[in-house]
Amino acid sequence: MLSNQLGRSLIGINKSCLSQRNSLRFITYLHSGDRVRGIKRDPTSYMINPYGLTYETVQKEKGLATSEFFSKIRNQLPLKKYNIAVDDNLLLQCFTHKSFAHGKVPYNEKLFIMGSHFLKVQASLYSIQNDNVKDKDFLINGLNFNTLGSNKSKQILSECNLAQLMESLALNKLIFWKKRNVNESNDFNGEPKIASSVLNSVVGAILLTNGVEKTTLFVTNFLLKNKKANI
Amino acid sequence: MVVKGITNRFSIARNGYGESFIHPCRKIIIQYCNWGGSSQGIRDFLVSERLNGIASRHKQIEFEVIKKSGHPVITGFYNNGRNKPICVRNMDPIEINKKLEILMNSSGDILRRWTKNDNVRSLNKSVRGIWSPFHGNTTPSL
Amino acid sequence: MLKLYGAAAPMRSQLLKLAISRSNVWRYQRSIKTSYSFYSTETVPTTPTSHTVSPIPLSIGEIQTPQLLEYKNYYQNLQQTLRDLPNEVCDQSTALVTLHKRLGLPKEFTTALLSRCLTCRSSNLPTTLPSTQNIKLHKKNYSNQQRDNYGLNIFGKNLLTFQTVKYLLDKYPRLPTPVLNVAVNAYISDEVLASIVKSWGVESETQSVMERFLRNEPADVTLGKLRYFNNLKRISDGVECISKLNFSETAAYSLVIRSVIATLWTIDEKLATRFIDDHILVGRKLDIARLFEFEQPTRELARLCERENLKRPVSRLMAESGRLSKSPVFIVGVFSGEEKLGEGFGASLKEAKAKAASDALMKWYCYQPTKDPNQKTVIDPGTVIV
Repeated sequence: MLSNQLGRSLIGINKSCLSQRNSLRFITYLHSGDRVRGIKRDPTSYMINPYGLTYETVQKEKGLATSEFFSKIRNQLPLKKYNIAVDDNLLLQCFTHKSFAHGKVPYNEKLFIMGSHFLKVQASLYSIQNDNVKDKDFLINGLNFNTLGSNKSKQILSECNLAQLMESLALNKLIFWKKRNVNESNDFNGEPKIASSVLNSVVGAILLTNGVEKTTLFVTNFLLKNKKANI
Repeated sequence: MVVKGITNRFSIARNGYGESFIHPCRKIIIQYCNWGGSSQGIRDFLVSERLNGIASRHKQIEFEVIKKSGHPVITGFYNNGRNKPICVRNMDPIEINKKLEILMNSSGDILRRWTKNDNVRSLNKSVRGIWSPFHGNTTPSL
Repeated sequence: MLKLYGAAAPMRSQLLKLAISRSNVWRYQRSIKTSYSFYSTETVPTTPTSHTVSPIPLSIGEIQTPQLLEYKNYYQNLQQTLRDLPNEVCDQSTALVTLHKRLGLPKEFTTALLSRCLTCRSSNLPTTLPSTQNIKLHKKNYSNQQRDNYGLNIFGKNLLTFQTVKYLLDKYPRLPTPVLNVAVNAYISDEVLASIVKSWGVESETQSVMERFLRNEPADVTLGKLRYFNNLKRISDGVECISKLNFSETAAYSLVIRSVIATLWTIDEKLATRFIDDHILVGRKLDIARLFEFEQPTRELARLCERENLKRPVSRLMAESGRLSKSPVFIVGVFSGEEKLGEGFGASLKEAKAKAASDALMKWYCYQPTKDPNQKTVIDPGTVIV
């Protein structure tokens, strides 16, 4: 009987110890500067893109009309022209790559997948509709499918073209991503791929929030008819 | 990334689940002999316009008429890759018609003897779940 | 099937006159010529040592026999038919007509278009045969100005992949990318598409041109079959042409369904999307939960709770039985504050804890939004990175 009671009380003591230990763990030292293995880093030291833009400042500007980051994107991408409503949160997610901040903040991977498949359909559609062939014999309902698979049709909305477009719009400096190797150049670290993925994910985001019709209009008028994207 | 996908799992066919249903029988070969007495019935069947009617009612099935010596055979070919031959020797046109119906309506699967308690066959899990002694009311009431 | 076909060849076109006029009934008598009827598949020499190439249509000027001329005519006629795919000939093909009916395709989808979907670029019959010394199928034999499913396949593939990804992400917006890729593969990999096409009852052409000639097969028979191999020679002869342009049977079968989708799209967009839903997505079953594999579920759950600003997950033992026996059972629940995230059972505490964490993660990743149009689109912030 006695031992039973003792046993119970012991368990009780153990539990209280545990909870105390739990509460103690909330004090954390955040380290900034050089990396030290095992020590947590200060978020301000790594939440910054290769061009020196900090994530925190952009996050504070969300929803503000005076925001430099968002107004620049909205000026360069003609969202208003095609009556497309995308909120700042989503826009920031589109401009954040998976490599940034170890995936702690929302990133564009899934939007990119959606957008890239949509763009592939649109690009192939564009090339079968806009091909001047003399021999009308092989067309199906006026569409020339034989043009697909050629080098010319592969070039439409290719990764390298989209990256060039991003660069010409000066949007590539607004992307949040992290270099794989800090000592190497941006191109070595795959900046073109990341830039094109941002454009793809903008298309994906528009598709998810604004529907197919508006996205098709945006893609055909802004990307397919744009000489920089479609050489 | 710690979550992984398991490869080599494929979607399972459910014929007729969407709005499409593919008829399992795709082809029937009718083989007859022009000389043998056992083919008398099938010759009558072919000369009459029965097959014309059947074919117009079952446009999804391909019919092929072949002349070959020996007993007459009708064979059904199915989408699952199997076939079912039925020998129709000495049968009259009505009986042959019945056999054709069997072939056309068959799923092509082998004949199985289903056990008594096999009323529901489903790919889905039971909606009620599996009973567990650890959940719910632990003190039984009498 | 083959035997029946071959053995039927000795038949003469005579005797029984059939009163059949349906397009899905094929009267074998129709175009059997008696002059070659004594050939059957069994009598064609099949010795593996005979590596002689079939008579070359353009170089038979030296040896002129009536049979060779006949073969030349047959070859050229076949080539012409395959190149032009005339509607009249396609409508004669029982296989095409019945396939069209079985799939319930619209009228605008002509049998000639269906036959084009069955034509792979690699099946193009060359005008000059490669010589015996240099067995190579040159790329120049495959011009892109012809009726084949090459372009249709590419467009169909783009459409199909987009539709599948959209279907999966609409249904499960938080599906992790590796699982999404596996799920897309489970719906539209070559193997699955090939099995669908086979279940439609599409056969592939395995006979060489010579065999077809010897059995006096009319051209419309081959129009209803999937042509992907350059059937100049028999495969069993021991001579095999290795070329980049020839591909596996599975790949060839999967081209058919993609081309059908692309062709349907040219008629009506909605037809194509409905066809994809019925035959590939909604019409088939895939258990998404069985595609997940977690390496460190407890750690991943902790990271997820941290990111989503939930309280730290704590595992608690909820029930147990037979701790000291051979087969103990533990039920463990994982809680974030007061809220229970998941539950698992196991023969050890460790196993039960891991299962509870995977259960909680599964509930997060496999979340399905309601079909209510008022609900805002769920946008996934991304998979947790540990």
